[in-house]
Amino acid sequence: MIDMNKRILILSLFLFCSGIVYPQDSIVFLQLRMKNETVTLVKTTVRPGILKQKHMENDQPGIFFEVLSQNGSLLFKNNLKDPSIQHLEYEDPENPGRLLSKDIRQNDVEFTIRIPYKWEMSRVEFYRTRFIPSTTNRINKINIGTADLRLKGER
Amino acid sequence: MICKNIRTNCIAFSFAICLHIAVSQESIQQLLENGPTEKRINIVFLSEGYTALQLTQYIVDATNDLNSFLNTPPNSSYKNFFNAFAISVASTDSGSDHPSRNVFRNTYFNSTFDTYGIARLVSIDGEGANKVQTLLQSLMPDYDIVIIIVNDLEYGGSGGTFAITSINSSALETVVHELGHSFAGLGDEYSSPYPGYPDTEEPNTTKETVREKIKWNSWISNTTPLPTPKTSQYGSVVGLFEGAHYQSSGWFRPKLNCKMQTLGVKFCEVCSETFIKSFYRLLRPIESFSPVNPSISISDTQSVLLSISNIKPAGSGIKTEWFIDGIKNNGEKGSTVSVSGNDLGIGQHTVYCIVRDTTPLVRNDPNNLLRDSVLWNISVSGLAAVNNNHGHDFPSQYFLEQNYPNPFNPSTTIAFTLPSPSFVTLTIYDVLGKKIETLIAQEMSSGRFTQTWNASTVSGGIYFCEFRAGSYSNIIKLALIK
Repeated sequence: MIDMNKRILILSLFLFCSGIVYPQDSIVFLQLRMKNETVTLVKTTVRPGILKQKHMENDQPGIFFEVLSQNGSLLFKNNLKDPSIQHLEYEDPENPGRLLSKDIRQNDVEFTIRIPYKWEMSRVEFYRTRFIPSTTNRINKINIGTADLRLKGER
Repeated sequence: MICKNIRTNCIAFSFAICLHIAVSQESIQQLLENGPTEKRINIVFLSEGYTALQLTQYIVDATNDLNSFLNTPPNSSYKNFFNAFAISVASTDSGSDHPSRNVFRNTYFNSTFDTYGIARLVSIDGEGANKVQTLLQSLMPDYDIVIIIVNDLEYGGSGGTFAITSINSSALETVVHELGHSFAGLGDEYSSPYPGYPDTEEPNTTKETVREKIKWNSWISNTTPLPTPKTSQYGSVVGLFEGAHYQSSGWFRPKLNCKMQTLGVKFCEVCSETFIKSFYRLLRPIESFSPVNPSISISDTQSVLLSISNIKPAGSGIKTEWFIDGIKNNGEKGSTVSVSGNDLGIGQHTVYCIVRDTTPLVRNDPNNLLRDSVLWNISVSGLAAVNNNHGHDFPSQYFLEQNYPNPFNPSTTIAFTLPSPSFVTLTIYDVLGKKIETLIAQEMSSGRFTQTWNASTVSGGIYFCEFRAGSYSNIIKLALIK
């Protein structure tokens, strides 16, 4: 006797392999590892939902990523603070209200990003971004990794 | 390659199923509902260090923290921009670790005070962070702000990907300050050294001293000296105060004191403005509009009703303007306008609607974040040339609307439109692809219809509603919260 969970699992896997697709309104969670300035993919999870896309997000130093299709078309981009640096703030016990901070740098760290699911997505390119000294709003990008995103797409 | 992809996806899907089963013991409860999750900023609280018997108190604590956050200006004027949820998970022990006192608790996310030797710094380790991610992915994937409440009376907290606060009455201040960084992109305004910090200005920090070039110049009175003396005389004005960005000289902040410098004080005008613009980076002033098709055809004997909907902030005005063929329609300032083919005349026309949040709390909006617009192109033809399916009485296309309310409990309404008689199926599936209920399977005439789904007999979670009519199909996500 196969219990209900196993039946659902078998049915779901059958349907999935037969072409059941992710709804267009899905969010892809990418669990990533950054070690020695290189980003690699640890795990991919797709969940239903709509990821809000920020309007007019400015470039900032840290990590920048681009989601690309097979032919290199840009599908989504975003940036995040450098996950290898933890900037921790806390209230000074000697001076109520006054803040103090401490930086923790790690050479090996895992972090998660979210991207909106698009059936044509193929890969994510990660870049280290730095502002070029003595220029305004110009950044220097260095590629630090690629994650394969060839999930099953809508047919 | 195809086989590899299928195998990879099977593994991913199996993981998703295991995930669903693994977290089925946890629950989510909505604390504040102002709209669909995709159209509101979703705050998610998680319980840490609450035993099963203390989870009722956790909901009280989360509600109190939510109210404190929403009552903090400028959030207080934008409360209806937010939804809030509480994810409850029980811990074996109550409280949190205090290694400096040799106190260790068995808690769900394994939180600890004394992080890196700092008594007030509360953190969770990598395993705890993975548990947070698992819960968010399963129960609230479209979160925007995450706050972990640690059931410990000692003052403590931290920022980062997830904000952490203890239940000490002062601890939420740290979280609100941290959201200034993570949500609004604000910089620190204090001067404690931070060697190696990027030389990049934030909205509230600058090295610029030329009045006309200061990014918050519109807040500075012409009579305020620059740099501004750090005296009580200038304690209530916006100016250019030296000391910010972890530097005591060469960097400037807008106000003598602000929550981005000192806990327990208000956000200054410039930081408040930045917060409001951050709301509008996620949510547009026009939430939805109808008809959704920007191209409309009507006859000279028909009319069409155009409408927009928007979130209305408390205490500030929303200005709506309508333009017909480029001419401002002074008689229409509401959310709907009816235009008739007879008034427009045969030919091509445009109707343009502009919506602006006119809050006095924002003076600088170069990217027009507080402004939104929609344009319809209307083609008016003679009666004989027009298909009767267009215009006021008949929808022009198939369309499945987002259910409302969403999340819901126990029933929700699903609306759809049919431009012509069609065989319609409306079916509910769970996240595993299992059919839950067929709501409609019949031939229907053209028009707009609504169907209620009463989900009182199924468990809480994410469901999908599939709509099929003719060659059209679409799927919407429904969130049942119990």
